[in-house]
Amino acid sequence: MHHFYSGLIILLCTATFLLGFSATSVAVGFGLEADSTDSTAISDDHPNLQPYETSYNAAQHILALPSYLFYWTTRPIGWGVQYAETRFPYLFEGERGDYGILPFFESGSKVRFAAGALMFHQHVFRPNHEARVQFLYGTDNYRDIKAQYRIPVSQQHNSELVFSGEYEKNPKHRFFIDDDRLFYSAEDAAVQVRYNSTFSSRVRMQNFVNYTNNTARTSSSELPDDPLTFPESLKGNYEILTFGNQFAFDFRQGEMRTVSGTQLIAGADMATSLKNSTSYFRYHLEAHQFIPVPFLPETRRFGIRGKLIKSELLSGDEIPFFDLPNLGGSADLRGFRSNRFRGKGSLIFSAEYRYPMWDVLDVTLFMDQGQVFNNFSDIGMDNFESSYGFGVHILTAKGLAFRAEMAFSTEATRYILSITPTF
Amino acid sequence: MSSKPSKKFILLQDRFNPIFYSVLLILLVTVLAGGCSSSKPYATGPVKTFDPDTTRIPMPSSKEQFQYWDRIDNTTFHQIGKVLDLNRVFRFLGKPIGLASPREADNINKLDEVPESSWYTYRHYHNPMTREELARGPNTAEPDTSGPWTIFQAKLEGAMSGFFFEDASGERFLAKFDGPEYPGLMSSVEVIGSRIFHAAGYTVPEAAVAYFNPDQVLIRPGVEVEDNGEMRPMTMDDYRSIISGQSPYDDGTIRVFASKFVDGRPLGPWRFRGTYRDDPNDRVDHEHRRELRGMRVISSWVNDTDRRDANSMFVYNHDGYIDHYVQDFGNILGANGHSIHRPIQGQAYLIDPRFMLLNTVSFGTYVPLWETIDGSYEFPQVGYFRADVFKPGRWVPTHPNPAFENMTLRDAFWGAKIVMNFSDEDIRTMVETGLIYDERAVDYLVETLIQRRDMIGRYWFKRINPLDRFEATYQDERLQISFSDLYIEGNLNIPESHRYQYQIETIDGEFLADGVTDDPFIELTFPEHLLSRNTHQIVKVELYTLRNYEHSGDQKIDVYFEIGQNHTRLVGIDRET
Repeated sequence: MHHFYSGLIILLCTATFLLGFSATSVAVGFGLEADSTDSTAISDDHPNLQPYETSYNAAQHILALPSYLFYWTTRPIGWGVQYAETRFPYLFEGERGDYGILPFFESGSKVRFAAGALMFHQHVFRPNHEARVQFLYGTDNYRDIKAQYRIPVSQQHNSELVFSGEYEKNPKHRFFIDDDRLFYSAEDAAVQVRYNSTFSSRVRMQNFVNYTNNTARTSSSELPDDPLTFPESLKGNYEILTFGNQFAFDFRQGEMRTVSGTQLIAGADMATSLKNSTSYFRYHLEAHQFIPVPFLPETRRFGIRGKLIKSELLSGDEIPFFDLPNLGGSADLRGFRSNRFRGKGSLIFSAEYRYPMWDVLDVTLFMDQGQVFNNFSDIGMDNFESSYGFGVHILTAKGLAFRAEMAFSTEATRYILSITPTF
Repeated sequence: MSSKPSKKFILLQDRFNPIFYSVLLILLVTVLAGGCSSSKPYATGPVKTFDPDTTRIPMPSSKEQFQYWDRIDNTTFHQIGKVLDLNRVFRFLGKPIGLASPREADNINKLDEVPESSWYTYRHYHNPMTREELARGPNTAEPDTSGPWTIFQAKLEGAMSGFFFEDASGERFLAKFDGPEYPGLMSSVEVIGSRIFHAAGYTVPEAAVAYFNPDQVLIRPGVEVEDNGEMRPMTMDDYRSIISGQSPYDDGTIRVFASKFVDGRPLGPWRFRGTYRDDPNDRVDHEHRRELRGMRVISSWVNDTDRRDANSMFVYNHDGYIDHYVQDFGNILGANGHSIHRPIQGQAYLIDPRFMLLNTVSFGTYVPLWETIDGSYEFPQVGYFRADVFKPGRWVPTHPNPAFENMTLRDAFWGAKIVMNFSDEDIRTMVETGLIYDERAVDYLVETLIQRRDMIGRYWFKRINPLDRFEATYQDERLQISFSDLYIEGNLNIPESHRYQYQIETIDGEFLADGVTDDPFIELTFPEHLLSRNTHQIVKVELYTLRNYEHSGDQKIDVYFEIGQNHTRLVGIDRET
């Protein structure tokens, strides 16, 4: 049986091969190509009365069949693009237009996959007053809606006041107790007012006030007889008011790509529960360093990130679990599921080698090392979890537009699609 | 030890045989059919000089222009489709082993030339144009600035804003303005490009640089503009915003590029692939038209990176057939629209899987040429346009162009000889039509074009025997054959460096002469009795060019002449590649 099929395949391959070359001979032989109608002058007609024509013989059509099929398969895509080009021209201009809608999707973040759209208008009500509305719908009935309104502050160059709000519902939010994965249903609403100011091209400051309303309930995916369930003590409604401040010292070089230099970010915020006496303080320190590879163009560079987050309880029983620093997900320990590790503090180091695949495409090879801890004394070299992977970054003049990465760890292999940069 | 074949195996054998024999039969028929047919390499009658695609037809419907789909399709789907076309694959595989040859263009005559048609007109190469003709290009009228201009249509598209106007003489033009950062650049390259492509034989719209009084512009009542997705009447403020980036000259005038409305009805862009179904005159697949394939060389000369479907135009003319325009030369020479070219443009496609793969697998250690080039320029009126980094054989436009991709060596030779035919003075004449105000910039541009022209000649004329313009005379039993060596005529080497080896015989195989000549001229005795049997005789001249006394890749040209008592004429050229 195998011999028959092997023989048939070899025969067909040989036949196709010969047919291919023969088709060439036929084409030339019958004057179907690269031949002229000069020779038709043997008839009564002057050759200038005989038009040229492209024609193909049967053998050539047979050999071109796969390309014909492919062509007609892709035409509906073309009709769709043409329709979109006519009706929604801004779709093709990114954010260059004054307003528009952009589709986007995420994977490897809070849920396996989510897709949605970003609507924007650069001049709502007044020039340069920008509004954005973004919505995502994902697996497990995940929903997320964000709205933002930015007002430039005319007295201060590059300063702006930003009002934003978000509603997120995740019926299957992950929660880990040691190595066991549980789920709870999360419903969060947040309102924020932020003031971004730029002191110089190198120093930026951000002040914000944030109100959040978070509810944790039993997830519908939790089975009644499951011995391990989301702790009752964590369920309930939380209302938290947060004030914060952040400074960034940016000494990075490069326009589309950051090719060298350092960025330091330091921030702190204070959160108070509006339902009980709990209050806590949180601070973070982050450093990014970019180093071009010697002897090569500076677009080949190493990027290193270190980030520390620590929270301290000031009063009350404990910090709400969802506000604790955590690791895992598309932004830090990429080979682990989101919220995989949670503690009062987190420490993450990432190293990436980035090099251009093309004008607006970078290839990245990365490794992340991170751990969570409750006290600084808990930090130990043996406690680091590691993940590694590779990916492709799509860039715009403003930086990252989209990244697709594949990350590996001892627990999972994860596919990440995101519009949010790591660092 | 032998085993008895199973019943199943016998059945399989039964099924196997018909397939085997069917395939074999198809193969035999195909191969025999191919092998048995032939056509003469010379014309037995008149040589075709015109392709009759000008028959009156009903006006076809217009075609919409899809800027993005055009790019997406040619960059992705067309590229995949090429791999799935086994004709192409087998040609690619068969060429190195001598089983297949490149697919030559479909509209070439026995002299390996493109006959005239609605696509192409014999101009400078075939009928040398005077300086005045080169400078005038396609123009029949310049914008009349003696009176007011009346805007009858406008488009507000940020930096690319412009308007359509009627001048004092009632002629209609499109007005486009230079980018504020590069005054004079876009308008000059548009005009220079129109002169070059016109002289090369293509149909192009009339184009001129004009200086107009911005206060002498009116808006015709009823003209509307789109504002935030809604239409509203155009105001003088809209007009002022269009010209706001333009600095007036001392006399108060503003420089503008003006393109005259074409005669006829524009129907949208034509494609560099396939034919236009609504036009029964359009019978040759555009990717197999010699003038479009060979345009690649002309485009490479002037770094015409945006040569794609969207920059072409079908026009239904007053004679009732379609003219095929090549237009939009704002992305040639050093200009890239309102900006300037980047070093990568002309070196790689916008998305180029060849280099992407190389970059990826090399982990960034492969550094493409354009990454090593400084994109700076000396003259803002010229932009980024260089000769030292130009690679004639590797030049590509920004988006894949199916006709360019199909270019063969013979197509390239055709394009190269058109480029090489422009003399230094011709080039200066055409460049000066761009009205570049810095004389040093003009000199730089002319010099760069000359250098790039010569690089094209050196590159392509080394890959194919560059002999052309064959002529023969016959008198008193003396046959004189002359030809041009385009390599030498282009001053790419001294005449002493080339010699020509020839063998001449009648088509019946009767030997006439052979030898080597230092000059592109052969004289031999052609006995009159050879004409006694027929009124004419076909003579075949086999020619090699010996460069520095060596065969240049053994590329041969077979040239066929018809010799008669009272006439001689060239009837065939067969170039070996």
